[in-house]
Amino acid sequence: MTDVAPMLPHAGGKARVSWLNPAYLPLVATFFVVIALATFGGMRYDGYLNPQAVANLFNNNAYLGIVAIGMTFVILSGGIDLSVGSAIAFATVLMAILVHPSIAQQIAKNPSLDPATLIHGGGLHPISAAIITLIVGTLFGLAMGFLISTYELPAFMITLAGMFLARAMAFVVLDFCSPASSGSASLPVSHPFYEWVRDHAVQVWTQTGRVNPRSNRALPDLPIRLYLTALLMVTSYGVAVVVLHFTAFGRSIYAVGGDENSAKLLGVRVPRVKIAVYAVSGFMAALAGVVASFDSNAGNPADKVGTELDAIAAVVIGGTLLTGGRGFVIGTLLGVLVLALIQGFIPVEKRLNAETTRIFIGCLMLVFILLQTSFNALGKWLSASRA
Amino acid sequence: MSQTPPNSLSPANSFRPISMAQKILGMRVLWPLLALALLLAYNAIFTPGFFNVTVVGDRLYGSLIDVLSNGTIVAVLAIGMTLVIATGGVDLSVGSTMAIGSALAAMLVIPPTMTPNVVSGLGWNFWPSVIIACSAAGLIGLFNGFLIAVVRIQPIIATLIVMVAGRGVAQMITGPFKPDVKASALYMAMGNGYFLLLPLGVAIVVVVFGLCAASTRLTGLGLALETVGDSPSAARYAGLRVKLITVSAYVFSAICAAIAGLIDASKTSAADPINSGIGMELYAIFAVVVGGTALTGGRFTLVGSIIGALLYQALNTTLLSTKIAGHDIKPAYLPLPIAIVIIMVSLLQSVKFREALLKPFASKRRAG
Repeated sequence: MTDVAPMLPHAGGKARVSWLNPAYLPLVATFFVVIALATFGGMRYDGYLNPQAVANLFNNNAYLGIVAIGMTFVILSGGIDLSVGSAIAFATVLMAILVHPSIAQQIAKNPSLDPATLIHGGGLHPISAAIITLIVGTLFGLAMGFLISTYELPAFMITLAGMFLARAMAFVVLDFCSPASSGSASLPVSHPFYEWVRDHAVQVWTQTGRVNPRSNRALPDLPIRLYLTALLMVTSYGVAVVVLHFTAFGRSIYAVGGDENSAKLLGVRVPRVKIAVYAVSGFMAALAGVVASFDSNAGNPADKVGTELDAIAAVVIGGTLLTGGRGFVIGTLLGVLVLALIQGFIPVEKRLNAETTRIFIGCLMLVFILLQTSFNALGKWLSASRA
Repeated sequence: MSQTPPNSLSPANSFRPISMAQKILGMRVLWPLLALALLLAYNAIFTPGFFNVTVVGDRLYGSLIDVLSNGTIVAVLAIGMTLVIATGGVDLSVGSTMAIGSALAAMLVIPPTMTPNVVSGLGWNFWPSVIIACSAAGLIGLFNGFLIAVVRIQPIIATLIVMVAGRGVAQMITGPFKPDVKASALYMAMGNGYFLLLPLGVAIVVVVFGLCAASTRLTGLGLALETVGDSPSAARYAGLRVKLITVSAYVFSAICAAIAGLIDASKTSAADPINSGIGMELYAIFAVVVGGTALTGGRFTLVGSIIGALLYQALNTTLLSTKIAGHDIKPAYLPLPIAIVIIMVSLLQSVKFREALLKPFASKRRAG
């Protein structure tokens, strides 16, 4: 704690806040990576940086941004959560099942249907379905946090088990709600509310004065639209900043991640904090699942494999120390932007696909871990020379 | 092989007399053996002909032989994973390493062709191809070990990066194809051949197990691995080359993964870069943890891991032949019971949980 506290902006009035402060260096580095990637893409590909493409960075990665918030909480506390990708897939399946009309509703609509061939849906409104999904996700995280905190089990083992458990549960739930003959591919969702959400994208800006480069004729104005899910992500970051930097809970997360024993001596209720961060992560994964459900209009148990790495990468690239105790949730948003910009190369570069870009993401992550190691050494050297 | 270091090494037990219940809970190989026996007993009652083994030509046939044959993949992985877990780490990259190893060997043995849309390889002999594939896997292990021992990234993160990026590497090796390995008779024999009436894979497991057991238990290497897992700093003060020992555990695990990948590709007769080895890291960890190796590192049992691998395969075979409420059990559900068992075994290994579990007995004894 002692060497961490002066580096955090909220920890005492006299702390000198400057860009040379080693706590900010990773954030600055990430910012430059965002600028560099955007410049590179903008110069190399037409339309890479046009306003709608920039808005789509948020639209297409809302789920990742949301789940990365939960991951930031867990990593700041010194833990890890590998279950989030599967938890998202499970949440999309749960949403799809709950929103699907119940057998009674289906028969009321069309009495000639045979109940044995129908899917057992919940027939709920998507909002109620989302609330149930969020509760289930939170309980899932809570259970993992309980095992990790109470019985001092290794976080990676429990969340790895959770990762496979949630994925398999997604298949089981989908199959056992479907008639025995049908396979478990993915369950499409069609509900007026899903369309309402898609149609009510917020027009944030209008691009005027567009000209067709071939004919030099003026093109109609183009509305730049941000989906409600993207707004939800931005709002979530606002809430996360407040929680992490302006509440006792947030400060105790930093304390536990910095040094668990010191935190305990300072009166932080360590077990409670550790359980809570996994619950937050489970909640955020479920929320990301709800968002993914609105994105894809389907519940797919095989969806979002490897998202845990993307989320961890976003957190690490965003400058949060993997061992916990140091970092900013806003950095995570920058990290998500980095990943989004890299994934923006996939449609234009034929050689790339989701798997091969992961090689690049992995390398970038390693570079940032190495940078952090050297920044830490630099920070120690600076404070030593000041003393 | 099942020997564990004396109890005086673990601080939890050092100054307390060991109660009977603790003694029973502490026997490591007993539990997986018991579980395996129960599972086999279940099959003896409910699966007709499960124990029937017949000799046809040069080989044995029967459900038990299938369990042995299919269990070889996880068994080979588990041997490597045991050493990694003994050092206090974990290797999540084994599934991807399987895919890379099998894909690389496949691309080397497949004959070159000019036909469009058909995979064109180098047409090498089998043995040099396998050596190259295992060396490539060794390099992956070296990379893992370097990140963990030298750069000091947590094992879980380092191997997670390699796990996810490794899939991309495997796809870059094969391109858009799923290379067919039928071209090489030796490659096909890895998973389908027979030796002394038993599947060839069993012989491979025996050789890998023998090499590993001999080099860890007949020399000081095993104790060195356990010391590193118990306390890296104590190991360093004791003069052990902690970095070298850690790195070699990951290299060994990756080579085991490549061998497992070859068996796997041979069984399906194709090196599939996308699906080969998916979820295998969990199953290998299952075998190791259920076998009685402590998750926290510091002690290991290779025999236990082999029993764990057999237990995994027997559970797998049993579940896939059962039905629940008219639904077939699909391979996609298997991680569910596996994960639950892992959580339960982790709980049984947790000192805090054991204390909570044994509390009623302890208080009774004090009262009486």
